[in-house]
Amino acid sequence: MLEEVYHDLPGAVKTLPFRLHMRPKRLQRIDYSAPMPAPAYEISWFGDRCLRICFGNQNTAETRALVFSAFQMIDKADVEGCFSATPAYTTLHVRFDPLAVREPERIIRSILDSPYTRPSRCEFHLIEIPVCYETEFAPDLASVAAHASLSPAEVVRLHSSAAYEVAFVGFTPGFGYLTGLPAQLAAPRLPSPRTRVPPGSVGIAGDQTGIYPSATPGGWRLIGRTPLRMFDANRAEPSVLSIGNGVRFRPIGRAEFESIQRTIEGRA
Amino acid sequence: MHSISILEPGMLTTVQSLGSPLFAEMGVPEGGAADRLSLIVGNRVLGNWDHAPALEFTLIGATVRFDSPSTIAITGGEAHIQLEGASTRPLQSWNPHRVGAGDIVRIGPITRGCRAYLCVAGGIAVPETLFGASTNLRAGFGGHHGRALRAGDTLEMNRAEPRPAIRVMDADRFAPHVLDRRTLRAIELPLANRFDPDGADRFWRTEFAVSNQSDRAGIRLEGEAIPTLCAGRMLSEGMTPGAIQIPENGQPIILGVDHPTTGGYPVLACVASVDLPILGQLRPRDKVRFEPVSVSDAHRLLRAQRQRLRQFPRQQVPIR
Repeated sequence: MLEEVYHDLPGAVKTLPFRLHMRPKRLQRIDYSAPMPAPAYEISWFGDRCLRICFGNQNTAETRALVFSAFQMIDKADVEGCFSATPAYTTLHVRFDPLAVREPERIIRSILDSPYTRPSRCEFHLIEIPVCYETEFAPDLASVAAHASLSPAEVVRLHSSAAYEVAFVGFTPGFGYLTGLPAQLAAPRLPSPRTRVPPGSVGIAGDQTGIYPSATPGGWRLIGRTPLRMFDANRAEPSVLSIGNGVRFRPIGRAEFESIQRTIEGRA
Repeated sequence: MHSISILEPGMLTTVQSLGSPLFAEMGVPEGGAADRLSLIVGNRVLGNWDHAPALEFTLIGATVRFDSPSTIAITGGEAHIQLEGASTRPLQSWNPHRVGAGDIVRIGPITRGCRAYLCVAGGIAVPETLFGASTNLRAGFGGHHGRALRAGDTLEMNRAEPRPAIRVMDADRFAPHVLDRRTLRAIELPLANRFDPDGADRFWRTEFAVSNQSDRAGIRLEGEAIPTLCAGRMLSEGMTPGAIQIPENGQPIILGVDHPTTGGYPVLACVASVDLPILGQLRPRDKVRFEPVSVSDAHRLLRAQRQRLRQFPRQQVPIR
């Protein structure tokens, strides 16, 4: 079902100015034209103005693909009075004005069960995130390496060579839940969370890796930092990550970190 | 300059509007006024749009100076409000008042409820971010530079259309609903494999106290622990304001307007839309209980509340 095609776009920097450093490479295609299994789902009320659509309880690539295509179908249907949909691993929550939308469950079923709204092919971006893994930005690299019985350099190599997928964006603005962390790199959370994690910090917690988009308290082990602003409400595309994106981390040195940071600040 | 200056910011003062539920898939919560009912009433008293941006005070009001004449209304939590200027007198909340250039308005500690709103004719002028004017403190966007107001800040006000502000004889009839109601109506979710009937039963019977660890993102409750069947953990999924999560320690968390858009704690019930504004007025140590309501009853209650709001501008007399 999954076919990956990468194109280098050397001209991207010139042709897509605001996407500089965001979308240097395209693109990954997922082909849905192969027949998908008929989506089995359950709908239940989540409060009085939200429906929860559940595609099972197994967090697998197939379930996530079902959630994603359902999200796209509902988004494209653009139902009057329907505000937003929150995709997650196996569920999709659809938020609406209950007094404006009559029979929301029937509407959702008619969208999801219609073969005409099923996307036949989706295009995704492979997003390359530059990450500086140098000690100053990586206070927990040594402890992650010790936990994995690897050298810090091997941790960086493994972390930056794996292919990740944005399962969904949630929790806080611009935070992507990434799947695909190499199993050796799994590491427990810090025994006591930091009171402030700087924005852009790349961390590991359990079998998850992610990037803190804004300064928050946090208990993830920090192994690097990206100069990108993962979320900027004033940008045409506020969130660097969105559901279905492919992600790779590209190790960069201190000099490149600062130069990218200057470019971004210069534009803001 | 048609502006308002912050002399003392109070405990936590932000610019808030009605929030926008459009960007959940980017992790952006709905946001906006924690008690949207009080904001809407304040704006209607002044003849504003419902979503005109206003100042939201938390527990302690601010002291502000008007640099030009305006009409204002203060709604929500009860506080002593003092006007200092050409005439010095206390102001009544839920009603419109004219203020002159150089007038100072002092809003004291909030003694009933938790949040008050200062609405100005025309609304506070802030740039629109993600189709809204509301401040998101965690991500640092919206409102006034994405942050809480500080002493010395100056905010522009929109020029109001020259329409008479209205004295509403009983605008404060909405006050008891948001300020005094301590039974929150909520819709129970299917228990599935997350709760057993005894745990759910205990939840509906228990009187909880609001913890002081509560903010716009969520209200933490303290009381008898509610057991879960999944050790307070499940796969992360979508959340909405009003969702009542039960984490490992069994102490419920009601999500607020700035909630995390996804979460991994099991949800037992969701507060009905009609009672969501009350969440913005719960203060530490308040006692709350929950009352189950069906989805169709919740819709009926919400419809009645909106009808009451619609009838509201009819009962008005212009003020001098």
